[in-house]
Amino acid sequence: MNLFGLRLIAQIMNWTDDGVATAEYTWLSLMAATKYDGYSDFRAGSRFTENFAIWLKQFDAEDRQTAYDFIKRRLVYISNAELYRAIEAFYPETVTPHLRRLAAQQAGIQPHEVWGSGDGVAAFKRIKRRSLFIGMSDGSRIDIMRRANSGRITQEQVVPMMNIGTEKWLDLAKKIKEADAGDTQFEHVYLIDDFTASGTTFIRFKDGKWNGKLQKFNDMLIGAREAVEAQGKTFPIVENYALHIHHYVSTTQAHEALLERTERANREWSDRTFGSIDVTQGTLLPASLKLTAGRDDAVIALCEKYYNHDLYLRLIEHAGEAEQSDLKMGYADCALPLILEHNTPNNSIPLLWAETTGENGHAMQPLFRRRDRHG
Amino acid sequence: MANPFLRRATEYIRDDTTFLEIVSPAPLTTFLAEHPRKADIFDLPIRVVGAPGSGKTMLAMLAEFRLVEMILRDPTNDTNKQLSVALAGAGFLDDGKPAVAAVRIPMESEYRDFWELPYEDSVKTKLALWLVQARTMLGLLRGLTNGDHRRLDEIRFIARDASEAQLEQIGGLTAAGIRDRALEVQRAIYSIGASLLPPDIDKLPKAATDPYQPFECIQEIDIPWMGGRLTIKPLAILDDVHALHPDQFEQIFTALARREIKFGRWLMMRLDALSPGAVFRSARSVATHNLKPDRDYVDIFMQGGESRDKERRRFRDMAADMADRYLPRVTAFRNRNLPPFRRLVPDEPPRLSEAKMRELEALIDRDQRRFDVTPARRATIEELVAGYLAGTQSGDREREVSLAMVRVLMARYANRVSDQQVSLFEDFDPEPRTPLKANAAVAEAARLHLQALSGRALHYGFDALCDASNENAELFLQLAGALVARMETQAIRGRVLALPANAQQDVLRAKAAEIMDGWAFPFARHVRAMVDGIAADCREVSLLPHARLGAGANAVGVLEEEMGKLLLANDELALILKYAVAHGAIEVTRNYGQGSKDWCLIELSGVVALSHGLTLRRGGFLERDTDYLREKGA
Amino acid sequence: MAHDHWENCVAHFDAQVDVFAKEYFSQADVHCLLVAAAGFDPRSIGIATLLAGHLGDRLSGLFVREERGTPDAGLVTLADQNAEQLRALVPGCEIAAVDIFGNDNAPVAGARIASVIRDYDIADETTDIVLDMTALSIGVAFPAARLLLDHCERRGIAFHIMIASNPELDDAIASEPADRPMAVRGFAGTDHSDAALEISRIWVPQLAKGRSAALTAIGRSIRDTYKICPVVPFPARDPRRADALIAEYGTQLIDEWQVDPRDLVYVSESNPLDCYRTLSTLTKRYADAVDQIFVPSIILSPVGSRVMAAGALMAAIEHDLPVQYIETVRYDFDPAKPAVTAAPDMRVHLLLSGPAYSELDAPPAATNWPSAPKTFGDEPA
Repeated sequence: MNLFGLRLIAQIMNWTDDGVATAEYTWLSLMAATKYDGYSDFRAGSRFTENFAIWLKQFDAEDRQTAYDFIKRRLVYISNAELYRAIEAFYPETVTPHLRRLAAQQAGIQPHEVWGSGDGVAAFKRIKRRSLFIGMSDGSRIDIMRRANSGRITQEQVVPMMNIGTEKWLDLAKKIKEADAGDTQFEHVYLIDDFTASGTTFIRFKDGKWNGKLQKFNDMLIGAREAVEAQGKTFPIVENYALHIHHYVSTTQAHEALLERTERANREWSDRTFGSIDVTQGTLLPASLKLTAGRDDAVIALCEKYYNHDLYLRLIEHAGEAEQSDLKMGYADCALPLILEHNTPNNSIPLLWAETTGENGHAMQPLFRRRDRHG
Repeated sequence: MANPFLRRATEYIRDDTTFLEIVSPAPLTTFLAEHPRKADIFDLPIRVVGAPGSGKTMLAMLAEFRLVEMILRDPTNDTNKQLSVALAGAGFLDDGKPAVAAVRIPMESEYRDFWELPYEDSVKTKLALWLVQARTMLGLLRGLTNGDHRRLDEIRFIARDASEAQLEQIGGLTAAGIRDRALEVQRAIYSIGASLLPPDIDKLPKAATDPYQPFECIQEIDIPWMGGRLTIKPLAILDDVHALHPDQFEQIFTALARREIKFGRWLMMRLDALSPGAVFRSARSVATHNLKPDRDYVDIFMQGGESRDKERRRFRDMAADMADRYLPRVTAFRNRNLPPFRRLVPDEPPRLSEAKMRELEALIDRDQRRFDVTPARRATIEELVAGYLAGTQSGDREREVSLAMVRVLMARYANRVSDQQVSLFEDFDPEPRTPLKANAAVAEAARLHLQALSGRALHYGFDALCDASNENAELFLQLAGALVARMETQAIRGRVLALPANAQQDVLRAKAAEIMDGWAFPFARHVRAMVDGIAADCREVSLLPHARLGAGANAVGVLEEEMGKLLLANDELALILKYAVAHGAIEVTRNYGQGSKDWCLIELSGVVALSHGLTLRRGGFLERDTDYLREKGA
Repeated sequence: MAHDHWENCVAHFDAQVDVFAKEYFSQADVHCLLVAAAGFDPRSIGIATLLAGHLGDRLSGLFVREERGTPDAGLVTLADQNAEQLRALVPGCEIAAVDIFGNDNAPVAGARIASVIRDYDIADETTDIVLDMTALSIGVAFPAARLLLDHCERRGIAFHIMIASNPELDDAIASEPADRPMAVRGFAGTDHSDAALEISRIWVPQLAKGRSAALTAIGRSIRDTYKICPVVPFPARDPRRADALIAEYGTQLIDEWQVDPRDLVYVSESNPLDCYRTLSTLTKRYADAVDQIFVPSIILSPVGSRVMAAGALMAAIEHDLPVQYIETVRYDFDPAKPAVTAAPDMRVHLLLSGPAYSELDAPPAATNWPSAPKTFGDEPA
């Protein structure tokens, strides 16, 4: 139990009623121990309780209760333990049922009949062997996904990053035949990442141009195919492969945006390498998660009052663009009260994660500091 | 931030050493050492009857050979010295060495499940009995070989008057043989009991139906002890036998009461004041089996055997003991020099603020006018009060108490000289036509009124904490735990640990409410409604200015005759009351004589009194009937 | 007893359940027995309605009416109405009253449901048995599942579990626990008494709103646990549900059970297979860890959502794990409360046995769990 930190908070919150203090200490210690102390940016001696005290201190006395209540009642913190569940559930809950449906189609039977049919089982195994799993970023924790599924999928079906060089493609082309000589190319590609809040990083359309990771991936594939075929080899992915996008955690907003935009891309991209594209997620955060007027007025007011525009300028400096005019409610105005244990997304309200010097306004103190290249 | 007070102690202790540090030896001394039939408690069947929280399970666990051995092997430890003395007093030790090898067999639900099997009663009873015996033998051997203090082959069982056939049936007299046979029996019977589809009667495994009577054969056990050998008496302690079906219990008890049995056997059960018939229902049928109390079996009651005062004192000692052992284990206090727990909940009386004092004085003045009391009369009354307070031993003699006492006496005065008897008041008047007197009852009433009038703390101090626990160790720990949590807050804020009276009252009231909100047992809703209703009525009467019941009421009385009838009828109210008693919401005293009538007293428990601001002193009750109870519990 | 095919268990959720039901149960050669509750729970009717729509007179029903002492009058009326509807949906069905408590108020549900099922004549032509766990209590559903699964496996026919789950509705139903925790009938686990090694127990309680008194009582009935691993829901419809449970069980987690935060188990609120897989992994890992040193014993207490309970059921059957619970004496429920009508049910279908898995493994060996030396019904010709 962190006596010093608790004493600080009691002072800062001005809890004159010892009964209140006792109850809050219980809750604070409990949540710190169970979840918040694990936050990646915390170090020994300065974990949740201390950081919470410092964070609360930046607010005027009359605003502190709002800030405290926000953490207590609105915050959603996804710990590594929870994220790992989503990672482990990916294959059995998303991939297997899908493969089963496809196998059924190929064998001409109903999906539930696959395990009762020799053809069905063979089709299932075949489609599985011809599936490739690619991590879109470090957050995809492909290593965990792979280990959780050892015995089901091989190392040769898993690639930890999107920038795949020609050498690697050639290697994949060679290795895919090892299980069954009939396999020459992957028919399914899964692009996996940990989190999407707005779908923007993955795919966006602005000023008449498409941008985002999907665009990059598509372009990369086109180039890679040329390079490999130039060497007289078969590119290890079929034309018009089935593309599957999976995020372990997605907001409802992102899910809808991704559906809509990928459908458009499917129609409009003349150079698309994929034949079909679908979108899945491990955990769907409800639309009600986002801070909204009428319901979260008090916190939104805090976001306004304690905002430092330096944040936005930093973002522009690094990203060069933004579809918003300030960063008060986070990137893409997502207004999320969300923390991921390994790092807070910038779609969450900056009140939670931003740190500024205070040269041009309020010096923002973070509670769960975000580590990142740009703002 | 582990607060050991908030853990449900005993059953929860995973580690013997910890258990020994917190178990109290008092029950051994109080209920066993001084029992008139002490000499027979390891020979005859003993029924140990205790109220929930009376420590009967702690007693059973402490008496087990495993722990007795642990205690004796480390005699320098102070705790162990105390426990040894108590164990010796109760007959478990002889000359510093063990005299009894006891093992506790909890009567878990699986025994009750046997009663659901599709066989005749006699078969079902045998299965349960065989299993009890098998488990006893296995438990004994485990306890005797615990800690590698002796090997299996060093243990010998001694039979008396047992035929060869009988000995063969129990596996012989070697420990290995007995163990193997017990395992065989247990395995066979366990599988029958656990089965979803029990086997046909003629397909029962032999091991389950063949005769198996170690209790009848074995009289003593011969074991190595610290270089020599020792002959000790075996004892099976069956805990929670009330979990058996009543018919089943009757049959098992009868079987265990047979003279042929040499093994010591205790049957521990929970007391149920409201249906003495149910628990002792076997009394009548037991008679038909020709069993007489005191001749064929002995009853030991773990509560109410002594005077209330003695009981209270004993509990306070035990509680202080326990609290002092727990305190150093509280994480926040670890590196501190801790005073005894008592001193952390001082009974230094609260003091009203100046503002509140002025308010109070104004109120008293208004009442003086309301009651038509002349200044001279008031002065006389004040003298009476002053005289009482000067001579009293109580530490709480603050000015506000004096004022409130004056108010009570003024109201009584108004009552006595007025021609009108306001019809709200009952017939029952404790001081008819006698001159005004200032006494402890009036002082208590004053303190209760002060809580309502000025928010002055009423419940504080270690003794109050114990009283509020109704002699229930677990409850004490919960209430104390809440106080300790508040002390932790003090520690965090760098303040002194001892809690002032007002803080204690706040914590106790809040914790009591929390406990009541957490009631989750059959009919909990009804029980809650009932106690809330009774409490509200008690409070109303207690707060009347003339305080006819002195310290106030915290109980209702129903004529004993009426209650008797209710309990015999198939009435849901009886069930509600039973669960209320079992879960510490009320306490029931039968045949309480008062005013030439026989009452069944239904007292609100300490937790209810804390929550509703009622006195913890016993005795004040409202006269009601069963319809009233039914209405309140609806 | 191996159910390797459960690694690839056929499962359907929400809208897919309707699709599957249509494809599968409309087939003319499917004759189905539905075993479900006929109680006050508004979810009691959903699955029966779905199946009746596709099966017509190829559907027979055994509906269990759990009798508990003195229920609330309003709930009795609701139950009567549901029973009426079920009779209309499945003509010729049997509605069996099962006493949950004996005449001394001891819990006897397991023994009673076992004899009901033993005495029920399951038609020879039955090709599928569906157990609707939605509104059955644990003390009834678990023994029923075990018996019915055994029956199906012996005959090589299909056994399904279906659930209409609604965590918000669950939260709105209050229950008064009985006095004594006990093992669910048929789920006492292996008898370890002759084990050469010491037994090391892990208790896995499923945290559920408003059930802390029950769980505390159950915890106390299990002595000597090496470790306690509480189960909380994630992913969940409400992302803060696990946090709310952790806060509700604060005292238990810190003081009473002294849970190491790393021992919290997160399990999907909507997919029972996630719970099954997680518990299986836990069981295997623990057994490996203590191999040769201790005898592992993992005790489950699935007190809340039926979805998680179904996963626990599968794990208990597969690994012969004991299930410790406490019977409910009374339910308290107000159907008019807003939370109740707001959120839709999440539906689950699991196919646990049958010809659909013929390619995955050989039919499992005859039951050798410490129970039925006797079967019910006739042996297949």
